[in-house]
Amino acid sequence: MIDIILSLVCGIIIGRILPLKESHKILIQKGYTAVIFLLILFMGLQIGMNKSIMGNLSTIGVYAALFAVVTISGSVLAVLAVEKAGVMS
Amino acid sequence: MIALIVCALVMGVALGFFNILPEAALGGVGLCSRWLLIALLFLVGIDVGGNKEVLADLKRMGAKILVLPLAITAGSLLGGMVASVLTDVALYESLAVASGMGYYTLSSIILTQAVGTTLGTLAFLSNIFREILTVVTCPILARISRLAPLASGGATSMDTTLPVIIQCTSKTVGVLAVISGVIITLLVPFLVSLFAQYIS
Repeated sequence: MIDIILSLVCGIIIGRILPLKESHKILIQKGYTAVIFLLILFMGLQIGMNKSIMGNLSTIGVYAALFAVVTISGSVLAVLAVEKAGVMS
Repeated sequence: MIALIVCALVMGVALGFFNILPEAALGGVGLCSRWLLIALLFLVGIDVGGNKEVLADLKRMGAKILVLPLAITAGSLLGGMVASVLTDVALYESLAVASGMGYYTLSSIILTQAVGTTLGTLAFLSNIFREILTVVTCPILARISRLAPLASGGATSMDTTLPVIIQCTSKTVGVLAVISGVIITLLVPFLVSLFAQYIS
């Protein structure tokens, strides 16, 4: 976990200190897309090789939909409570 | 971006399912993924750190701006607890999945590496569903409250769901959505890996 937090913090500090030109930002965006592509490809590889996941995809899908609905509901209700309390005004 | 991600996922699943890659190549995938993940977070950090407008807005609004992303996070975690009761997914696993808050790429990658592929798949699907549901229900949510679409979007309210949120609400809410999304995006890797540590 510590390496994840450290690389994030290092990135923020470097992003703040270095004056980034627009061309640099485009380069970073491209690098980001390439890294995401590879990571998702590798994750797909692990999913495809895992026979128990491939066999239970419908169950996992139903669970995933349930998680999406309850987390959205929780967040919306929490924000409504904050609004009611008048903190944001 | 979403087309590219679906394309990468389908290619990966096909390669894995039909055992196309040699055994030797597969060994390198795990190690390579770890370094790619670190590179990814570094790039996310540079992007956030270099965004002067967001930083200026943050300073102007002070500590009050934290209320929104913290409430959204607390609500999602509460939802994760409810999901754990409704399903046979263990509490910390549920909390780790719920902590994704729509950031499906990062949360699923961290959980695949830290816990396993099954939980990573659940994180991927549930968080991509959160993004899709936010887009689809945005007009309805906006009628309940102007901040509800932003709450539903979680981490995605800073980029992918932002256009729909602005469309359904206003530019002012759009600014709040970006700031809240950025803070949640920074919280996601922290929370997901924190809960992952408690999964036995």
